[in-house]
This record gives sequence, C-alpha cells and structure tokens, in this order.
Amino acid sequence: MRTLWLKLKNSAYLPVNELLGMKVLLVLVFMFLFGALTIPVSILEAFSVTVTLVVALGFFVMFATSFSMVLLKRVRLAMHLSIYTFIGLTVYYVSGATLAYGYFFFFITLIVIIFFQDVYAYTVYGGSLIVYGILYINAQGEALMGDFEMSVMMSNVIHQIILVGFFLFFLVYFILSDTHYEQLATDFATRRKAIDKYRMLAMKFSAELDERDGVAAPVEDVGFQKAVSETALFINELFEDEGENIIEVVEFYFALHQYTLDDVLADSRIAAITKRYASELDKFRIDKNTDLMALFYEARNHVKERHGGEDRYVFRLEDVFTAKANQLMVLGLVYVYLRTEWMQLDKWGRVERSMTHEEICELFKLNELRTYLSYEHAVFFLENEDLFNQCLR
Amino acid sequence: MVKEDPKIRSGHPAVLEQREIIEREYLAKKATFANAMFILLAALMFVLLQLYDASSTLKWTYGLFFVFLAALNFVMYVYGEYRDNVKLCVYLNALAMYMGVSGVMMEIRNVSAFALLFLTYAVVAAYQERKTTIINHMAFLFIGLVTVHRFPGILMLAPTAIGERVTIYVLLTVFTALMFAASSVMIRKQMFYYDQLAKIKEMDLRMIGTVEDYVKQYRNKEPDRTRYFRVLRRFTEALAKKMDIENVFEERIDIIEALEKMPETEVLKKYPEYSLEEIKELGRFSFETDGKLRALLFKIGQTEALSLPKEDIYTDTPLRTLSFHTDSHYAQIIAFSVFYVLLKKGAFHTEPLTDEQIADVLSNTDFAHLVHSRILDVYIENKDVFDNIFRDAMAREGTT
Repeated sequence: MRTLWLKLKNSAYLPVNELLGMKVLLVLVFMFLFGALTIPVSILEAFSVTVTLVVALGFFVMFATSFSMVLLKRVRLAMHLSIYTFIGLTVYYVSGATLAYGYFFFFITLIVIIFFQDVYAYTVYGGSLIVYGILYINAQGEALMGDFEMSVMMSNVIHQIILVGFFLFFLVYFILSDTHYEQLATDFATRRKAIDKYRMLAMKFSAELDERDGVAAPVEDVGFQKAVSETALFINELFEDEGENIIEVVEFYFALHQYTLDDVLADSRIAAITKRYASELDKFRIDKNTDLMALFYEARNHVKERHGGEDRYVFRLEDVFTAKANQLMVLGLVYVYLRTEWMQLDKWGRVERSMTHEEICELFKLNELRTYLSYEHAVFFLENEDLFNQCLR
Repeated sequence: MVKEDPKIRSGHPAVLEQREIIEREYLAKKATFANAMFILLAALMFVLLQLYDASSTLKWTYGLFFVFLAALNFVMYVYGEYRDNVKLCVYLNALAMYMGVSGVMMEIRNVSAFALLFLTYAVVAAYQERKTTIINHMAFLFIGLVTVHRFPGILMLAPTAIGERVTIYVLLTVFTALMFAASSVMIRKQMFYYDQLAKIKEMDLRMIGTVEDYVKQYRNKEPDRTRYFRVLRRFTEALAKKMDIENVFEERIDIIEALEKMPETEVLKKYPEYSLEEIKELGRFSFETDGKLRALLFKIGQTEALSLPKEDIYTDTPLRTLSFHTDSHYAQIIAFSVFYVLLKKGAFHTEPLTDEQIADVLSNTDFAHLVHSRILDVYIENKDVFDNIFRDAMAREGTT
C-alpha cells in the first residue's frame, strides 16, 4: 500500500505504462473491498445462494487473474479484465428483480472505465454498457418510476437521457482533455526546441574558445577522464556490486566519442553487450547536443542570475512596446541586428555569419515569427523592405 | 515586480507567478466547455422541475439563481478580469451546481433526480482544478450519503432494506475515493506540465544569457549601440518622408540616448510632453546585457521553421534524465559521474560549482527526480569524498 501511495504521489513522473499499472492496482484494491462487502450482502436481497456462490467464485477468479497480470507486467490486459469484472457485476446487480439501484451501477462502472482514461476502452465498453442500460431501462422502467403520475415512456426517456448524457459528456471531456494535453505538450516541445538551438550555439562558441585558447575539450582532457573514472568506481563500490568492470565501461564511454553509434552497431566484430552499452551511453556524450549536455547547462543555469525586469517572459513586440512609433523603431533595430551581428552558422558550421537581406525577407514570412511579431509588422516590413535594405546596413 | 532569486525551482517567485498565469489561462479554456455543460445541466434541472410539477415559486427561484450566476460569469468575461477571477467563478459554479441539484432532489424525490447527482459530478469534474476537485468529491459524497440515509424513498428503498443501503454506502464511498484518486493523478500531471512550462520559460531566458556570455568571451566586444541608433535615425527619417508624416522618431531616439546618461525623472523634466510611462517604455530600448530588447533580438534571430510531428510532441517527454529505468546501473553511474565532474570542473568555459551548489541543485530542484535515488544518496552522504577524488585526479594530471 505504501508503494501504491508513493506512486500516486509521484504520478506526474511515472512513465505511461507504470501509471496504468498503478491505476489497475488501485481499481483492484477497490474492487476487492467492494466485492468482499457487497456480494455477501446481496444474498439477503434477491439472489439464491447458488447464484451468489457462482458470482463470488467468478469474481474471485477474475480478481486473481487481473492481479496476476499486473504482477506479470501485462497491465493493459489487467485493465481489460478488471473492466470485464465490473461489467459482470453490473449485469449481476441489475438482474436482481427488486434492485432499483442497479441503475446506478451503470454510472459506477462507467466511472471505473473513465478512471483508466483510455478513450478507446471507454468508447467500446462504455458504449456497449449504455446500449445495455437503455434496454434495461426499457424493461425495468416502471420500477424506477416511483409514485409520480407520469407515463412510463416519459420516465424512461428521462432516465435514458441522463445515462446517455453522462456517457456523452465524458466522451467529449476525454477528447477535450486530449486536446488540452496536446496544447501543453506542443507548447513545451516548441520551447524546448528553441532552447536546444540556443544550446547548440553555446556549444559552438565553447568549441571556438577551446580552439582559440588551445584548451583541450573535456573528452580529451586526461584529468577529466581520471576524475570521471574514479568517481564512477567509488559510487559503484558503494553499490556493492562486482566493481572492476565499470572502469572498462568508462574507457569505452570515452572511446565512443570517436565513433558514431551507427558505426558501432553496424560492426559485426563488436560484442552484443558492448553494443548495448553504446546505445545506453550515446545519449550521455559530451561532444554533441545530447541529453546530458542539456542537463549540464540546465544545472549551470540554476545558479546563474538573470535580471528580466517586469513582464519577464513577455516577448511579443506589441506587448513590450505599446506605441506604434516604438514598434517601428524596434523593427529597424531587428533588421540592423540580423544584417550585422554574426549569429548564424556558416557553411563550415561556425557561428561567423550574419543574415542576407533575402534571408531576412524569408524569416519575416515564417509563421513561427508570429510569436514575436504580428502579421501587420511582417507586412509592414515586406512592403518597405527596400527602405530597410537601403538605410539599415 | 518579481524579486530575483538565483534558483529555478518551484518556489522561485517568477516561476510561481508564471505557473499561476499558465494555470489560469488553461483553466479559462476548460471552463468554457464546463460552463456550456453547466447551462445544459441547468436546463435539464428546469425540465425536470417542469415535468414533475414543481411549484412556480421554486421554478422562478431556480431561474433567477441561474440567470444571476450566468450574469456574474459574463461580467467577469466582458471586463477582461475573468482570468484573474476564473478560479473564484469556478468555485462558485461548482457550489451552485450542487445547491441546484440538492434542491431538485428534495423537490422531486425520484431516481432520476438522484441520477442528476452523477451528472453534476461529471460537469464539475470538467474544470480539472485542484480545489474544485476537492469540493466536487466532498459534495458528491456528502449529498449522496445524506440522501440515502435520510430519504431512502428517493431510491425506492424500504426502510428495512439494510443490505441495499449498505451496498449503496459502500458504492458511493469506494467510488468517490476511486474517482478522487483518478482526478488527483490527472491534476498532478497537469500541474506538472504547468510547472515545467513556467520553468522552461525561465530556462529559455537564462540560456540566452549563457549564449550572450559566450559571445562576449569569444568576440570581446558588445554590439555597437551608437551605430545602431545612427543608422536608425537615417532609416526613420527616410521612413517619415516616404509615409509623408512628421518625423516623430527623432525626439524618441534623443530620449533613448538621454536615458543612457540621466535618470528617468531628469529626462521627464527635459521632455515634459511625454508621460512617465512613455519614458519608461523608451527605457526598454536599452542595450544592456539581460535587457528585454537584447533577448528579443536574439530570439527573432534564432527563429526558424519548426516542424513538430505529433509523435515528437508525445515522445519528447518533459524530463530528460540521467537515470533511464531501462539503462544498466553502469550507464546511470557513468552519466552521473560525467555530469558531476563537468559541473565541478566548470567545463565548457563556465564557472566551476562548489559541492554545496551541486548538492543544492540535486536535492532541491527537479534534478532530485532525474538521478537514481541511490546514486544521489551516495553523493549527498559523501560530498567530501567526491571532492577529494576530483581534486586528486586533477592534481595528478596537473589540469586544475
């Protein structure tokens, strides 16, 4: 239970499959509690002992199978089995002749399916359940009516509308939730791509500085290699595993910097275990814009101050400068910056080039630039590009 | 005005403020859908009251109540303050829905009225907001249990049907707990994204600063601001002539240059026809490092056509890590060792970090989730040993 609670607490960091496993486990815990408390009670109401025993046995078998599937990491199958179990329980309770509350079991089972947040499972199982629910209401409508003077048909329609409404509402909700996540994920991925590009520039400048100052890059620095190797050995010793091999893997890690991963994987002379290490370590190379380099700069920037002033993250021209005259002056400065500052890669991959007038015109046509400049700004530039070109070089 | 703090973490004032802004923006989008559903729910309540012959006083009360609520939401939208008040609106709407459904249940006392409680739950759940989720589950459970206990007739239960009642108590409690767990998972995931989005904006800003530092180190010079404004004068003069308007730019450039030499108040005295806000805005033309204009120019200069296929968006998980769960522990140890030595050495022409700084970043930021917990424990408990290993290795090779 403690592990389950910790997983729930850190659910934001869990991979999709582990998250689903946690949900299935949670449903199974609730299913067990629910089944253990309600199946014995149902014997008092409308069912015979034989039926209740068969249901109890079936419930136990399904529960045990679902649980085994979780242990065997077949979480998706376990999810389907737990849904089947709930659908089975719904049919069982709904079949009770006097059980008007069987109607609510449709909502409960839909809620269990919703819990998994799987739009396909919801559409297929939830949709089938709704069809069954509509038939049930048609058959048992009178039992749901109560004492009010209303036609059975009208009463049935109301119950059906509420049930179908509940189903459709969550269906739309799922679709919108997906859209919401997509917006969040796109916004995040776009910003990360921009930072990746800034980091690539940083690494280019760092390499230029190494070359200019005659400094060895970390990967060629023997002291650096020694420090990494001894640090890794120390950590590994405290892990109390067989430790000697890690030195060889560290050496292989540095050697890997001379090859591409594709070369290593394609070489038939290299052992499978070595290829596995190559695949694992490639994302931690320090001569390329890798995950490890991203984390290095991220950690560095955690302790680096930057004054952003008010509206720190606002970079849309018309939000930063409200006066039209100021906006036009900024457009002028943008042009000067792009034409004169060497911040573009040349054909040798060095940051030694500014933009040409034609490149700037193409830049102003990009949709991506709308993050900073409005459509009107872009049109103004493109209509007056000659003037920019003549006066701002 | 946001206070500066050297760390990018959840408690950073700028990040906190930004996360709140992002959360409100997205909540406003979700609220549009939930409010539309609310209108449908209110209409359904009204239809039920009509069908079951509720008193006209009750119908009028309901009508006025929902109209008032709609007007309140509308006013907040129209006056542009909605985003600041969106949370308040959502709480009010959630409570109003439960008040409404309770009234319908008391009036109609029928299975369909009880089913409306589930529908209300679904509508309130669509807001996907932390406190609203708590309100939703508490209200659903409380109203459900009280109804079954005090008015079993609503579910056509005989007072002696203890078994059925127990089943319903269990059903309501267990499934409220289940749905609360489900909502918590979803909201945690969303809050995680809001947090990551807020942090990535700060990272973006600081990465620009890092590139600016490299440019300064490599080129040993700052952009020539005098030249920028000299050519800008030439351009604006020609622009005014072309557009056949008075040259309104000349004096503004004079003010920008004056702001380099004297404080805003002095400039304001010299140019009394300008307001303080206008002078402040012209102050943003400053070319100082870390300035808004420099960052904007940089961002525009690095903009490029971006293609983000859907699979990239989803496979590009928010967190990069030194501890992939599928990696061998050798790979995880080596990744951490390289990372540590890079920071400690001050690799790639950066300033070295002390062990206190490294430990702080690793323990108090997202990095705590990005390093294998056992490796992190080993480091935190043996910082001095790590420091000695580093110094010895560097001293032996003579590279410190």
